[in-house]
Amino acid sequence: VSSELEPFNLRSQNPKYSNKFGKLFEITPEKKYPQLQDLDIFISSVEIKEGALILPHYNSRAIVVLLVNEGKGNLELVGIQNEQQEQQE
Amino acid sequence: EEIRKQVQNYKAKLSPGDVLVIPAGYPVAIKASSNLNLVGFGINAENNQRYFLAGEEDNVISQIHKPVKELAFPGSAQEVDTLLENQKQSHFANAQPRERER
Repeated sequence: VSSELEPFNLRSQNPKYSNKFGKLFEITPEKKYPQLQDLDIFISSVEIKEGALILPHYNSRAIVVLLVNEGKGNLELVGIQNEQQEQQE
Repeated sequence: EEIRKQVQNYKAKLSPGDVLVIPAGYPVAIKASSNLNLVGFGINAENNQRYFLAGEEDNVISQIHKPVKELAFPGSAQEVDTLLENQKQSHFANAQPRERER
Protein backbone atom coordinates (compact mmCIF):
# COMPACT_ATOMS: atom_id res chain seq x y z
CA VAL A 1 0.00 0.00 0.00
CA SER A 2 2.77 2.40 0.98
CA SER A 3 4.49 2.38 -2.39
CA GLU A 4 1.48 3.70 -4.29
CA LEU A 5 2.07 7.32 -5.13
CA GLU A 6 -1.53 8.34 -4.93
CA PRO A 7 -3.03 11.50 -3.50
CA PHE A 8 -3.96 11.13 0.14
CA ASN A 9 -6.38 13.00 2.34
CA LEU A 10 -5.30 14.61 5.60
CA ARG A 11 -8.72 14.14 7.10
CA SER A 12 -9.22 10.53 6.13
CA GLN A 13 -7.59 9.44 9.40
CA ASN A 14 -8.32 10.27 13.01
CA PRO A 15 -7.16 13.65 14.34
CA LYS A 16 -4.01 13.62 16.47
CA TYR A 17 -5.63 16.00 18.96
CA SER A 18 -9.33 16.60 19.25
CA ASN A 19 -11.71 18.12 21.76
CA LYS A 20 -14.67 20.48 21.70
CA PHE A 21 -12.33 23.48 21.19
CA GLY A 22 -10.40 22.23 18.20
CA LYS A 23 -8.85 19.49 16.09
CA LEU A 24 -5.43 18.84 14.60
CA PHE A 25 -4.96 16.39 11.73
CA GLU A 26 -1.40 15.52 10.83
CA ILE A 27 0.47 13.22 8.48
CA THR A 28 4.15 12.78 9.24
CA PRO A 29 6.92 11.08 7.24
CA GLU A 30 6.87 8.29 9.87
CA LYS A 31 3.46 7.21 8.66
CA LYS A 32 5.00 5.62 5.58
CA TYR A 33 3.93 8.12 3.02
CA PRO A 34 6.87 7.98 0.58
CA GLN A 35 5.97 11.36 -0.88
CA LEU A 36 6.45 12.96 2.55
CA GLN A 37 9.52 10.89 3.41
CA ASP A 38 11.27 12.05 0.24
CA LEU A 39 10.62 15.69 1.11
CA ASP A 40 11.06 15.29 4.89
CA ILE A 41 7.85 17.25 5.39
CA PHE A 42 4.77 16.86 7.56
CA ILE A 43 1.43 18.37 6.70
CA SER A 44 -1.26 19.34 9.14
CA SER A 45 -4.70 20.87 9.22
CA VAL A 46 -5.72 22.75 12.34
CA GLU A 47 -9.26 23.77 13.28
CA ILE A 48 -9.73 26.11 16.21
CA LYS A 49 -13.25 26.99 17.31
CA GLU A 50 -14.27 30.61 17.79
CA GLY A 51 -13.17 31.82 21.21
CA ALA A 52 -10.74 28.93 21.72
CA LEU A 53 -6.98 28.65 21.50
CA ILE A 54 -4.29 26.13 20.77
CA LEU A 55 -2.27 26.02 23.98
CA PRO A 56 1.35 27.28 23.96
CA HIS A 57 3.62 24.68 22.39
CA TYR A 58 6.76 24.30 20.30
CA ASN A 59 8.08 21.92 17.68
CA SER A 60 11.32 20.18 18.54
CA ARG A 61 12.80 20.01 15.03
CA ALA A 62 10.39 21.18 12.37
CA ILE A 63 10.14 24.69 10.95
CA VAL A 64 6.44 25.18 10.29
CA VAL A 65 5.02 27.29 7.47
CA LEU A 66 1.43 28.13 8.42
CA LEU A 67 -1.18 29.24 5.93
CA VAL A 68 -4.41 30.82 7.13
CA ASN A 69 -7.16 29.15 5.15
CA GLU A 70 -10.28 30.50 6.80
CA GLY A 71 -11.21 32.68 9.74
CA LYS A 72 -9.52 35.24 11.95
CA GLY A 73 -7.28 34.98 14.93
CA ASN A 74 -4.28 36.17 16.87
CA LEU A 75 -0.89 34.52 17.06
CA GLU A 76 1.85 35.00 19.62
CA LEU A 77 5.35 33.72 19.04
CA VAL A 78 8.22 33.87 21.52
CA GLY A 79 11.85 33.97 20.51
CA ILE A 80 15.23 34.71 22.04
CA GLN A 81 17.28 37.68 20.99
CA ASN A 82 20.76 38.80 21.99
CA GLU A 83 20.61 41.98 23.99
CA GLN A 84 23.45 43.50 21.93
CA GLN A 85 21.28 43.61 18.82
CA GLU A 86 18.83 45.83 20.68
CA GLN A 87 21.43 48.54 21.14
CA GLN A 88 21.72 49.14 17.39
CA GLU A 89 19.46 52.14 16.90
CA GLU B 1 32.05 40.27 26.34
CA GLU B 2 29.03 38.59 27.80
CA ILE B 3 26.08 38.19 25.45
CA ARG B 4 22.79 38.39 27.26
CA LYS B 5 19.72 36.70 25.84
CA GLN B 6 16.41 38.43 25.91
CA VAL B 7 12.91 37.10 25.37
CA GLN B 8 11.29 38.61 22.29
CA ASN B 9 7.54 38.57 21.79
CA TYR B 10 6.05 38.58 18.27
CA LYS B 11 2.34 39.14 17.73
CA ALA B 12 0.28 38.85 14.56
CA LYS B 13 -3.34 39.17 13.53
CA LEU B 14 -4.36 36.35 11.21
CA SER B 15 -6.60 36.67 8.15
CA PRO B 16 -7.26 34.27 5.26
CA GLY B 17 -4.28 34.06 2.90
CA ASP B 18 -1.70 35.03 5.53
CA VAL B 19 1.48 32.96 5.77
CA LEU B 20 3.63 32.63 8.90
CA VAL B 21 6.87 30.84 9.68
CA ILE B 22 7.26 29.24 13.11
CA PRO B 23 10.92 28.36 13.72
CA ALA B 24 11.71 25.11 15.53
CA GLY B 25 11.86 25.54 19.29
CA TYR B 26 9.94 28.83 19.32
CA PRO B 27 6.84 28.62 21.52
CA VAL B 28 3.61 29.66 19.84
CA ALA B 29 -0.05 30.07 20.81
CA ILE B 30 -2.95 30.91 18.49
CA LYS B 31 -6.35 32.22 19.52
CA ALA B 32 -9.33 32.07 17.18
CA SER B 33 -11.60 35.10 17.05
CA SER B 34 -13.82 33.26 14.56
CA ASN B 35 -13.74 29.60 13.52
CA LEU B 36 -10.18 29.29 12.27
CA ASN B 37 -8.72 26.81 9.79
CA LEU B 38 -4.96 26.60 9.22
CA VAL B 39 -2.78 24.42 7.03
CA GLY B 40 0.75 23.68 8.21
CA PHE B 41 3.79 22.45 6.30
CA GLY B 42 6.58 21.21 8.55
CA ILE B 43 10.10 21.27 7.09
CA ASN B 44 12.70 18.93 8.61
CA ALA B 45 9.80 16.88 9.93
CA GLU B 46 11.49 13.58 10.69
CA ASN B 47 11.30 12.74 14.41
CA ASN B 48 9.64 16.06 15.18
CA GLN B 49 7.83 16.25 18.53
CA ARG B 50 5.26 18.83 19.52
CA TYR B 51 5.71 19.80 23.18
CA PHE B 52 3.03 21.71 25.07
CA LEU B 53 3.68 24.24 27.85
CA ALA B 54 0.14 24.13 29.25
CA GLY B 55 -2.67 21.61 29.55
CA GLU B 56 -2.76 18.07 30.83
CA GLU B 57 -1.35 15.94 28.01
CA ASP B 58 2.08 16.35 26.38
CA ASN B 59 2.96 19.09 28.86
CA VAL B 60 6.75 19.23 29.30
CA ILE B 61 6.64 21.42 32.38
CA SER B 62 4.58 18.84 34.29
CA GLN B 63 7.29 16.28 33.51
CA ILE B 64 10.00 18.22 35.35
CA HIS B 65 10.93 16.45 38.58
CA LYS B 66 9.73 18.08 41.80
CA PRO B 67 13.13 19.11 43.23
CA VAL B 68 14.00 20.75 39.89
CA LYS B 69 10.68 22.62 39.82
CA GLU B 70 11.44 23.82 43.33
CA LEU B 71 14.69 25.39 42.10
CA ALA B 72 13.56 26.63 38.70
CA PHE B 73 10.41 28.54 39.67
CA PRO B 74 9.81 31.18 42.34
CA GLY B 75 6.90 29.19 43.84
CA SER B 76 7.23 25.83 45.58
CA ALA B 77 6.92 22.62 43.53
CA GLN B 78 3.51 22.08 45.12
CA GLU B 79 2.32 25.53 44.05
CA VAL B 80 3.64 24.97 40.53
CA ASP B 81 1.84 21.62 40.28
CA THR B 82 -1.42 23.15 41.53
CA LEU B 83 -1.17 25.85 38.86
CA LEU B 84 -0.39 23.32 36.12
CA GLU B 85 -3.32 21.14 37.12
CA ASN B 86 -5.76 24.05 36.83
CA GLN B 87 -5.85 23.64 33.05
CA LYS B 88 -7.88 20.46 32.63
CA GLN B 89 -8.05 20.55 28.83
CA SER B 90 -5.25 19.40 26.55
CA HIS B 91 -3.96 20.91 23.28
CA PHE B 92 -7.01 23.15 22.71
CA ALA B 93 -8.80 25.14 25.40
CA ASN B 94 -11.37 27.86 25.92
CA ALA B 95 -9.81 31.31 25.58
CA GLN B 96 -12.78 33.27 26.88
CA PRO B 97 -12.23 34.87 30.26
CA ARG B 98 -14.78 33.30 32.56
CA GLU B 99 -15.86 33.81 36.13
CA ARG B 100 -14.15 31.76 38.77
CA GLU B 101 -16.00 28.63 39.74
CA ARG B 102 -16.12 27.30 43.29
